[in-house]
Amino acid sequence: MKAAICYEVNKPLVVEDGVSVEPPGPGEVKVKVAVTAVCHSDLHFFTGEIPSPLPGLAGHETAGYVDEVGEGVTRLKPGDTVVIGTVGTGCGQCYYCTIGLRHYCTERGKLMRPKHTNKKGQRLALMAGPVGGFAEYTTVSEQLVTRVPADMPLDRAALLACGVTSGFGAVVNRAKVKAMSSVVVVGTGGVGLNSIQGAVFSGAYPVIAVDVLDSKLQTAKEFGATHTVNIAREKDPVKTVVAMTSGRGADYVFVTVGKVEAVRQGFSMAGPRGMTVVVGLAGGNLSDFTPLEFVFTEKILTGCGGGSIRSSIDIPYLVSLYQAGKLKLDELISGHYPLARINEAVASLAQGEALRNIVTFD
Amino acid sequence: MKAAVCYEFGKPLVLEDIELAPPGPGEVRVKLTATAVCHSDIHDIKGELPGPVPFVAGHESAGYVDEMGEGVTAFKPGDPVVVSLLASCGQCYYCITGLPHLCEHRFDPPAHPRLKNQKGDQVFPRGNIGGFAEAVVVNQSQLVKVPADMPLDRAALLACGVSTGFGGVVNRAQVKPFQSVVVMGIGGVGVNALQGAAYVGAYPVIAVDTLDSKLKLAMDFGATHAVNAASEDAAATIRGLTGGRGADYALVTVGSIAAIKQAIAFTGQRGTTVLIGLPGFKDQLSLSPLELIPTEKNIIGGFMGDANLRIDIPNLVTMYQTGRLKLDELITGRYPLDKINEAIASTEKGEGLRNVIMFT
Repeated sequence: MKAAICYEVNKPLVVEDGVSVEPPGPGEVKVKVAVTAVCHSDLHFFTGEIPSPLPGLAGHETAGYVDEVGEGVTRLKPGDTVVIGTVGTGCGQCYYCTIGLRHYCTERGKLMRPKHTNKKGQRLALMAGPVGGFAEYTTVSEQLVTRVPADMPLDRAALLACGVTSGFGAVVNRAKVKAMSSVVVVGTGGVGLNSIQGAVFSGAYPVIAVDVLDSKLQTAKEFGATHTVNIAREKDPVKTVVAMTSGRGADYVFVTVGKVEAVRQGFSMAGPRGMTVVVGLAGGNLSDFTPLEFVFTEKILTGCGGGSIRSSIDIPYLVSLYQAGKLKLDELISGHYPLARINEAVASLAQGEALRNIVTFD
Repeated sequence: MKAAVCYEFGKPLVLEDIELAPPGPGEVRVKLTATAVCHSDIHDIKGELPGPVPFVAGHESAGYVDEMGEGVTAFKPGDPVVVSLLASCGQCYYCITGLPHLCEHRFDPPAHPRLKNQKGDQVFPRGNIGGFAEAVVVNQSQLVKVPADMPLDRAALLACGVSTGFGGVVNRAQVKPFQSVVVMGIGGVGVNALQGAAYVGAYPVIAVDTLDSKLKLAMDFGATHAVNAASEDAAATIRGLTGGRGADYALVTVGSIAAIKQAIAFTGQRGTTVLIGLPGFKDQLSLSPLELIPTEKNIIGGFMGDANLRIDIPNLVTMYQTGRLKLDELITGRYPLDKINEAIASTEKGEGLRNVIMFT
């Protein structure tokens, strides 16, 4: 089979044939990949911002068809249309699984075992998640695999593996935003737009989109933002947000861009008792926070990993929302690229032009 | 093995030798040390809860792991364990969201019959346990290991009575410090609701019963006030104790419609009545919606104290071992299996808190 392999950071991926994958062991599933979307976290690995052993295989927003199931897998069968999520449903036995936080399963590291080998016999490390989706076939734990209806377009379904759930889930699962509360979303890319959708869905008002490009803010409005702030042009964006929220600052701020400065600014946009949720992966350290800001305002600073998703519950739910016309997915897709042109898909995302580029497999 | 079988509702249990099937995949056989008698056992035996006969009741058990079925890796022979009726599959909506006590499969009968009598008739283990017998086979999700130095007769109480009362306050109602709590019925569940309320810093913690002896006991388990509903105007007393408003929470630990209606009256605006005692299955509650709208009162149910077994049972053991939870005082009497009908009669008369069947 063919796969797009990262041999060196900051170099184009090498699309090569002769790659093999292990057959599914007990509790595992082999999937014929139909599509894998390119996510910004893939880029963090390709540039070396997040280090990884090499050669490596990235890609974690994947959908396809079950090809073969391992021993003990009863809930899936060959031919099923599935999404491979980045977050497992958990071992079901550890502390976090037992209290309903499956995304913190203490056994989740085991999902990262590499299963692909290139034609020279080198093991390919899994990059940016436990999926290995930039290959024609992959084998993963059944915990990561969620069946979707046969009439769900797989390129849209793939987005539910990470980008959509990270943004939507941060609002709905992590922050549990209530109706009538005010929400700021900093960064209106493939994750931020989904935080906006989540906020609108929860009945938040106002829903304020913050970005540096008017074109993105225009898209944010189409996804339901009620107000927009262009921080490149606004003299005092914090003051603007405070004015938009009855003079108090926002109840919730979701920082979906991977920049520590954006987290700092987002925190200032939150009002007393307001919660700032760090969603985008950022290198560097947060600085310039004084404990007094926390004490006098009782502000809350927290993070959200993968939308705190319960894959087997949330992915089917989001599919229903899409099919009922209540969740935008079509509009998130900027382009489709066959595997041979994966480097174009990566470059276009890196330039910030695209929301989501989809790599397609035959 | 010896077991106490109910062949006819309302009749004494029959002591006899019956056959226990070996544990199947995911199942474990436990040799029992102790099974406490709970009021729901009496409901079962009197036919007040639905279910087929003949059956073996008993669902507050503890003992030692004896044999494991295929695929069971978390236990080994000799492990001391608490046996609960809460089976959970680990993968349904409720299990995934951290509410295994509401597992969609919690009441599914075992895949294969577990018990049969000498005549070869199937005997049903109530609660998928059947703890009034020398040994049981249960699903592994129903077991929690306890430390070797935890006395098993006291550990058994954690399976149902203690968790239902304590967890009803702490897990279901999530009572906070300074909130006011009324506990209706001071039996084996009620005293544990009192312990839970005292532990989380509730004040006042008001015990309501009709027997002065029970109200005296309530004070030992953390009640700050006691009200005898038979001899005083309980509603007025409770309002007086709660700033004239009525209580934030009322936990109804008895299976009585009259007590439920009283409890709703004892709560204040936005107050919550939590139903944790099982009434008979034909009993109906009727009330006017107008009791709820202007006051925004809540009526909610609590099942088995929302016990998340693997988390809560070890926590309760620690609390007992560090002197923060009373268990010794809950045990009124210990009976060998062949005196089980005496133990049941004593529980039914409301004489004590918990009678425990001890196996040798």
